[in-house]
Amino acid sequence: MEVVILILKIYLVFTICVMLIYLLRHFAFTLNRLFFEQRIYYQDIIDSEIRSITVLIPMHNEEKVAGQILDLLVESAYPNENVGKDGRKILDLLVDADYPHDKLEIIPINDFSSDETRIILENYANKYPFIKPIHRYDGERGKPAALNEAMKHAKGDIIVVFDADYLPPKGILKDIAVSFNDPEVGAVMGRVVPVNTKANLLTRLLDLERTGGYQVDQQARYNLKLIPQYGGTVGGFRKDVVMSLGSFDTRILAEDTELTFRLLINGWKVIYANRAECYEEAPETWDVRARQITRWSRGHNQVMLNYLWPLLFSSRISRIEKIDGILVLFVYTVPIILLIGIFDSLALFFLGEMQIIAGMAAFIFVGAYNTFGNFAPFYQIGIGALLDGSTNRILLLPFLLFNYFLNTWYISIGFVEAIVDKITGRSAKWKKTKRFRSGDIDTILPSDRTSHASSSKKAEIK
Amino acid sequence: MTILIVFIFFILLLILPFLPGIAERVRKDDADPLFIHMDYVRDPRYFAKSFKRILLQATIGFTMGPEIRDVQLSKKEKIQFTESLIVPADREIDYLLYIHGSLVTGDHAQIIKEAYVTGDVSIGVNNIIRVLVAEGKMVIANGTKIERWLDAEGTITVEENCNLGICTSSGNKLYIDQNCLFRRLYGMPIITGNELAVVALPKADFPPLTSAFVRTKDREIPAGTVIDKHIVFTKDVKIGRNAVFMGDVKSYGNVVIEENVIIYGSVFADGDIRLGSRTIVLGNIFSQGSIFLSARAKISRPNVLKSVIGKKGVNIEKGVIIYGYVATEGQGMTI
Repeated sequence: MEVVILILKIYLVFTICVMLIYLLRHFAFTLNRLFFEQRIYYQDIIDSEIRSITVLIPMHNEEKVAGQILDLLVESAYPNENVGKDGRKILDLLVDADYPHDKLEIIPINDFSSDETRIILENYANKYPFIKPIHRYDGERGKPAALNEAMKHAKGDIIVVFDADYLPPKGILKDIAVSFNDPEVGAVMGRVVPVNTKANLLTRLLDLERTGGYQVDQQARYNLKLIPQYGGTVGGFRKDVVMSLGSFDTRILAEDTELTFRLLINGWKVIYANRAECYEEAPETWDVRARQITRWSRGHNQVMLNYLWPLLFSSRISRIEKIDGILVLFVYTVPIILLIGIFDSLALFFLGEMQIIAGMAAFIFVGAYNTFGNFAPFYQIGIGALLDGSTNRILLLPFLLFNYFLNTWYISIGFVEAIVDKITGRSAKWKKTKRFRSGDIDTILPSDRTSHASSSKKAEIK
Repeated sequence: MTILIVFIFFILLLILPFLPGIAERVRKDDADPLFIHMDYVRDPRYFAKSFKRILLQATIGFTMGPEIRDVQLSKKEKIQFTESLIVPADREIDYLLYIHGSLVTGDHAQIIKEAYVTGDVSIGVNNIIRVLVAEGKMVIANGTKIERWLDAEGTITVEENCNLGICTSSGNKLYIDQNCLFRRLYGMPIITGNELAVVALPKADFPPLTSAFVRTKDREIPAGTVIDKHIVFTKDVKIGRNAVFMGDVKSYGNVVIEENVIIYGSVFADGDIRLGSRTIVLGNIFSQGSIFLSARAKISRPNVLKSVIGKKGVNIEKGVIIYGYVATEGQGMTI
């Protein structure tokens, strides 16, 4: 029994140490964002010699959203036309983007759709010669496989990826493409902003998570020359580099995280563009969110299991990047460490062995356990909202407790599934996140598109 | 009873942190998505285009005349619609101007509201101007201060010791003399001082480079070296005179480039960048620190727009030619 108690105590100390490390990390990010010098992104560069890009949009049964992104992107190529103003969808938005059409190619990838997606895409292809849909009805399913096939057809030097529910603004393609003037940038990630915040409490909480994750976490990592993550959408990468590295691994669910680490260990940098903002649709029900977070956790932990050693032994990564890389890889492992730690502390409590946390240690213990409330701890989210000039939403912070419990449980499930994947060699099956959108773009976007209170403050923040 | 009170107190304490959030959920004061300007595109002459659009829309049907009238812009303003105007020395004008013709100001004049001119503009010595937009040419005399921005479709010539405010843009050439302060400049090209660079532009007669780059700890590139790939320096680097880089150059520290170097790609640095005289960069120059362009350096080539972005500052000696855009969050200065 004494041995068991000793193990329980050692594990509890280990849990607290892990919590404290992440506490310090996120606290450092928050302070960096508040008080230290910010690195500027490349969006101020105006360059008439623009790179050719291919926009890839994986789509599986996306009839609700398919047209909107294309309309927005086509606006890039035909900036003076009011494209598709009636019932605009994602394709409309892409059609609308600010990018010369001779340098722009849009490939929507119809991945085994059984709804009207195919017809919608063909209609756009008939109207716009630079929209070249691919229809996939055999071979491997899922986003990584779809991207791999599309890359073989893509003519652009740079690949930009959007999920089908995204609403890209007019200038975002240039904002993303300009970063590849920097010779060592392999991939760039933009900022994701939920558009359906008004739907319910969950979407408002996810909006807070995104605020902390992008406005503070990703930007601080960019400032500190650590590892901003490529997020698989609202981002781009060099086609020749990714293809030379073997394209996407179709067995891994988090193809974005996998690409981040593959680029990194091969000497390429991933950078973050806070200015390249794009609306997304956040999950509106807890079960959809649970499935999404489980998939993220499973995929991320697959990457952790595959890339930990290559990361540690890569000669192309600085020491500080390695430390941050380890912490990034273990982010989706921490909830299960904490979950076991909670049961551990309960066991110790009922065994009457909790005296190990007396005095100052108790303070650290409580602090540590209250830190990992979410992907981005509460103060990080609060500061993110403050930087966005959108402060009333901070009042919702205590409700993140519910997200915390949900995340802890489903991330833990994802972790276990990743371990099983690794041991058994089974391949994970891609599951699309359910869409909730109805109506056209002009009913989805904020009604006042020019005078929102936060816009002036955001403009000051690089 | 005591247990009940304790229980109620416990429940109250439990829900207390949620009460402000519940109030926000009910009131929905901050429930809108964060604002993204969906139509935003980067345009170095955005101020002028936007101002002209707003002004011309608001003044449809206005006729010329000496009277000062009301016009509704973002708020109610006074405006004068007039033919060519000569503003006497020391005169202050505190209303908007729409000038159908040319504008000439005497010394020490002040125009403290926006002015739109369909013809040419000549601003006298030591004027204070808020915003000036012209469809013709523009000459800004010594010591003038621009409080916000100015734009001209034609050539802009700025004499010594001017403060050019936030942005100065031209649809044509932009000449700037010494000791002028600026934040953003745009012109095709921007030319500093009275001396013109006479450096011959090189022809890029080699095949395009792949994405591959070389990362090196070298601190110095010897004079005359030719490098045919993109290169990333992990330390400060000094590039010797007459070197030729066919690709991009990046440094994690400072970059000092000596005279007569040719760089066909772009130059990026986390530190400062110092370009030697007669050096040519055909790509963009971007620094998280400051940029110093020595006399007769040349950036880009005719009809190709490139940018010089120095976060902390941009200093430009005379005789420099930049085809495109210059911007800094710090202070820009011609010296």
